[in-house]
Amino acid sequence: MKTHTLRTRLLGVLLLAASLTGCGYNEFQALDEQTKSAWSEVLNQYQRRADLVPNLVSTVKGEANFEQETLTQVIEARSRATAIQVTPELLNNPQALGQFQQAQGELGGALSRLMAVSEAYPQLQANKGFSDLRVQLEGTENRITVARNAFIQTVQAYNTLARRFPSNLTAMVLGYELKAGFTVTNEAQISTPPKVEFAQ
Amino acid sequence: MKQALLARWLTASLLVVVVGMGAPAWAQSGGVQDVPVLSSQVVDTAGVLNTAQAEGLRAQLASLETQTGAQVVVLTVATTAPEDIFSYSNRVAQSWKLGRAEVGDGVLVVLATADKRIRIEVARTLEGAIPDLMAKRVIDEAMVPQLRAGRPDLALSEAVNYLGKLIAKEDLPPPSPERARASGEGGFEWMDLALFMFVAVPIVASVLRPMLGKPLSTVATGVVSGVVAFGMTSGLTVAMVAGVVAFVYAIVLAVAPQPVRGSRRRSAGAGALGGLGGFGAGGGFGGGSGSFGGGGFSSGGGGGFGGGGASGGW
Repeated sequence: MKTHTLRTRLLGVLLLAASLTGCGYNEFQALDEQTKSAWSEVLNQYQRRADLVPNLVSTVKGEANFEQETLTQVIEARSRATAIQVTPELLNNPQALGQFQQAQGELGGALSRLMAVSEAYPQLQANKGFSDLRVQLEGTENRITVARNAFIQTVQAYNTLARRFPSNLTAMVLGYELKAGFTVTNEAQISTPPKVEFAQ
Repeated sequence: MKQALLARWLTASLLVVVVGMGAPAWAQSGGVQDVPVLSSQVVDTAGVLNTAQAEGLRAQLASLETQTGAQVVVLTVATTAPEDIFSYSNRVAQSWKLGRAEVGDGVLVVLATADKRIRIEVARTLEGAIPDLMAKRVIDEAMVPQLRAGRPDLALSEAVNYLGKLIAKEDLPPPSPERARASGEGGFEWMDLALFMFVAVPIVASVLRPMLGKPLSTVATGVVSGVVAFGMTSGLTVAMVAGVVAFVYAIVLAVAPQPVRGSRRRSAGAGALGGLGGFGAGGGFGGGSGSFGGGGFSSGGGGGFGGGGASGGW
C-alpha cells in the first residue's frame, strides 16, 4: 500500500516535470524577452531615421525654390512621429501601437515623396551632401524593414505559442495575452506611387 | 496489469509532450525565390564568370578570409524578382549566415545581371568597417564603371579588393589557423551529456529502483532521460545520442542483477520510450549550425544582417 502511494506520488512528480517542460513556461519567458529586444531595435532604427531628417531638410532647403509643400509635410510628419511618447507599455496597447505605427508610416511616406520629388532637381542630385544623406536614408529604411520583420516574427512565435496546445493552457492560467504586431495601415498610400511633377 | 497501464499512460503523455514541442513552428515561403546553395565563395548562378575568372575570384576571397577572418561571398543571379535587391540579398545573407559564428563578420555581394542592380550586404559586426556610405562608394567607384564597360569579373574583383582593404582596417579577432568551431562548440554539450549520463542517470535510477520496483523504474529512468535530454540539449546529434544511451541504459538496468518475470519485455519498451524522448528533442530543436559542404568551403555560421550596406545600379 505504502509503495503504491509512493509510486503514484513519484509518477505525479514525473508527470509534473514532463508537463513543465511541455507547458512552455520557459519559452514564454524567452520569447517575451525577445519581443522586447526586437521592439527596442525597431525603435532604435526609427530614431535613427528621425535624426536624419533635420540634416536632410536643411540640405534640401539650400536648393532654391524647392517644392515647399513636400518639405513641410516631412517636417510635420517628423514632429508628429517624435511627439509620441514611447513607453514600454506601448507594446501592450494595440491602439497606441497603431497610432505610433501610423505616425511612423506617414513619416516614411513623406520622406519617400521627398526623395521622389528631388529627382526633378539636377542641382540637388549633384550635391555630394545630399547623395550621402540619400544613401544613409536608404540604409535606415532597410534597417527599419529588417527590424520590423524580426519583431513581427518574434510576435508571431509568441502568439503561436500562446495559442497552441498545450502551451495555451499555460497562457490561460498565467494570463498571457496575444501581442499586437505590425500591420500595414496606410495601404492606400503605399499602393499609389508618389507623383512627380516637373512643373514648378 | 496496473503497471502496464501506467506504462502505456506514460507513453501516451510523453507522446503528447513530444508532439506538442516538436511541431514545426511555421513554414513560410510566400512565392519568393529559393535561397541558392552556398557551394563556394563565388556562387555564379547567372553564369557571368568563366572558369578562370571564378577561380581567381575564389582565390582572392579565400585569401581575404585567411588574412582577416572575415567571410566575403559573391552571388550572381539573373534577377531577384519578385523581391527588390535589398530584400533578396538580406534574406540570402541571413540564411547563409556568413562570417564567423562568434564574430559575425560576413559580407555578401549580390549582382543581379538582368535587373542591372548591385547590393553589398554588410553584417552588423562590419557596419563600422563598411558603413553604408563606404559600401555605396565601392559600388559607385569600383563596380559601376567596370559593369558599364561590360567587365563583371573586374567589377567583382575590384569590389573585393576594396572591401578587403576596408575590412583590414577593422580590429577583428585574428583568424584561427583552421576552423574548429564545430568541435569546439560541440565539446561543451558533450561534457554536459557525459555528466548527465554518468552521474545523474545512475543516481536517479538507484533512487527510483527501491521505490518503484525494477520494471517501473526502468520506465521512469527512460522517461526522465528523455525529458532531461529534451530540456538540456539543443543539437540534433546530442539529443539522439542521449536517447540511444537512455535506451541502452534501460536495458542494462533491467537485465543486470536478477531478471524478474516479465520485466524484460517492458524494459525494452522503456528503452524505446527513452529513445523516443531523446529523438523528439532532436526533432524539436533541429536546425543545425548551417554548414555547407562542397569544395572545402562552408559558412562560418555567424553574421546577423541588420540591413547594413548599400545598393546601386548601372
